[in-house]
Amino acid sequence: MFNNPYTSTAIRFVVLAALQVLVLSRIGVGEEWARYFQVLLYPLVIMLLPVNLPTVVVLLISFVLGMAIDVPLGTLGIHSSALVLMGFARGLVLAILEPREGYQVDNMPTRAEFGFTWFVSYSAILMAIHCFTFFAVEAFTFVYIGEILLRTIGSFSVSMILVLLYVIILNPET
Amino acid sequence: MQDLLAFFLRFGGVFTFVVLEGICALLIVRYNDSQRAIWLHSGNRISGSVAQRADEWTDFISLREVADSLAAENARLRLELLLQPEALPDSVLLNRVDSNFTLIPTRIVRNSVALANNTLTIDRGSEQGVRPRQGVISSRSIIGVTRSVGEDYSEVLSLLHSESRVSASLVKAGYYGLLRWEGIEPREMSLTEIPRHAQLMIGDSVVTSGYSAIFPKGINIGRVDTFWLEPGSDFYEVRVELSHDPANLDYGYIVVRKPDAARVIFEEQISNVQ
Repeated sequence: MFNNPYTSTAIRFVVLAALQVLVLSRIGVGEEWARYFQVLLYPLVIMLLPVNLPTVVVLLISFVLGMAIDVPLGTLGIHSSALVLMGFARGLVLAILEPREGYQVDNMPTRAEFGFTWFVSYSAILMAIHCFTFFAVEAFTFVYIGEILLRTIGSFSVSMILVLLYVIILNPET
Repeated sequence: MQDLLAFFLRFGGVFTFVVLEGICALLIVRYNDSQRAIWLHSGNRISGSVAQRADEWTDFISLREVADSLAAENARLRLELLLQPEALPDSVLLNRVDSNFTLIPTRIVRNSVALANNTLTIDRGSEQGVRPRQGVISSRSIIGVTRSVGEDYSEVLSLLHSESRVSASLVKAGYYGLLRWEGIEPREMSLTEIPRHAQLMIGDSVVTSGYSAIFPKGINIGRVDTFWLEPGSDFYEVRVELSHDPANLDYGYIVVRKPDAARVIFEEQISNVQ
């Protein structure tokens, strides 16, 4: 059942979006520290899309997933724009991290396929892009660039811990 | 159709990205209060700065008007100064004896210093009371004498003209001579007819002598730069440095003599006799 990338993507989409909206984005609501430690796990859905999926499709999925987070959280466009940018950057990051022998048609960008080190750099770059864009768009001005960077660093750290826990525990192959 | 779709899937990435981000931006600005506030505020800032630019530009445009009105103000103040009997001699432009002159402020619209016979154009003419053979001065020295007068513009025979002759006197030495231009340096004039027994000194002020009806007595012209005696000559060769740079003139004043019937009649009688 989980061997098909479409099914696994669909399941991850639903589960991670729900987890984000119902649990992760509610942690410490109203607390001062929560501003600096927002857990953003849903980018994992986009990270784990098949390598050869056309950019257009990746972008459309990113947009829809972003909206699925934005609509219930009442932040219309903020998660989406950050995730669409990350989806766009995914192609470039994949090109940079391309192994010497190139990608195969059915490659999945997973720890199981390319190893833990590769997956850490791959997900870390994308997560950094996503966090920075997200907080920059949320602030909607670069006047508070120091604040934006602090929130990026804090949220990037906690989000990456969860992403890595996810791939270590579940070790998705598709 | 399928080819088109395949093409789009392959190369439509940037396009899709831009469109989706555009939708996101619209949604953000439309549905998020704080972001919309920032957006509107930035809009105001941009339109505000545009308005300010336009404002600065109109300020710049109106500078000429401002300068004109300041020149008129200056002329009035100088006139007041010259009518003050107790004013210090150093601080007055015109000698207080010559209170029957008035000044018309003018802008110098054309100027030349490079020719052997230089002329200027001023933007005052017969409509404003300018007549031929009236002196034109700057705030620091003299400029020339009006020659041909139009309705709104006049031509000024510059001091830097081979035909220019101005009667000038030395303040400390007390002698007077004729000031003319040698045709070389725009700032350097030559003062002739100073007798060899005069006590000359470098730096002595040169002012108008007041021996003609064109310039009132005591208008500053410049300073003695050098002087020497030609062998066998009874007159000094004096070089005078003008107090202003003739190449850099924006504003001047036309010296208008109030009709002095007695003197005019007397001078006419003399010239009739001659």
